[in-house]
Amino acid sequence: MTSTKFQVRLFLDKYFIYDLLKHPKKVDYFEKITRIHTKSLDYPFLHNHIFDSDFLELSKFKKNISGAILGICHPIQIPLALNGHDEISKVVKYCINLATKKPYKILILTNKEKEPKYENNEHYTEDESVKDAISVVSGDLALEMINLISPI
Amino acid sequence: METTTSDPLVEITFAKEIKESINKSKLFRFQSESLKNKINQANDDELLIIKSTIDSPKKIISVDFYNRTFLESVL
Repeated sequence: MTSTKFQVRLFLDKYFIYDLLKHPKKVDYFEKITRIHTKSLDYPFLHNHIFDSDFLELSKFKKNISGAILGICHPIQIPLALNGHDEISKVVKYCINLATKKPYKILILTNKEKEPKYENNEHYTEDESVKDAISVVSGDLALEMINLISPI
Repeated sequence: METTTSDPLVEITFAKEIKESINKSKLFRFQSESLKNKINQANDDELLIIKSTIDSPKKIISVDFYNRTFLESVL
């Protein structure tokens, strides 16, 4: 059970997981993301996050899938302070807070449609330091990033 | 989604961790002795899916391996 110090934490939204479930190599990628999530030296089983509302929706989408998702990310209750924000702002603001903790880099995994919504979000564009700390990826680039973070 | 006391609690853990917890805590109970054996016979670095229920969180009702076979069956 060798632990690894990963250079980035992952935030997964439901759109990324819905996309991933259609991918022919979805099992390979689940295994890679599981490795990141469970073998993190700093945050074992807490490395990758998802909002619990997304997790609950996904749990109803397919029977027994909740166990598989719990292996790749930890469901987080959306902080009350984010009430009133739209879903994209909630993720961005949550990730800004997450990026104040080591390793200080967050990768938001989403789908092609939502990626520009994150990148154009007012909280994402308000400060260059946010873009330095948080990247948004989808599709093939998201999978390439997973390959880079967990090459085995 | 509403939850009831009989809804399953699902936890993913390395076998080593749950073995240690079972050894150190008297709180755990098992739906059947075979579940306890399954945990004890698992390799320390194998990931296990442990299910209990909200009204009885330390009574283990199922144990599955979190591996490629499991992922292929549920994804």
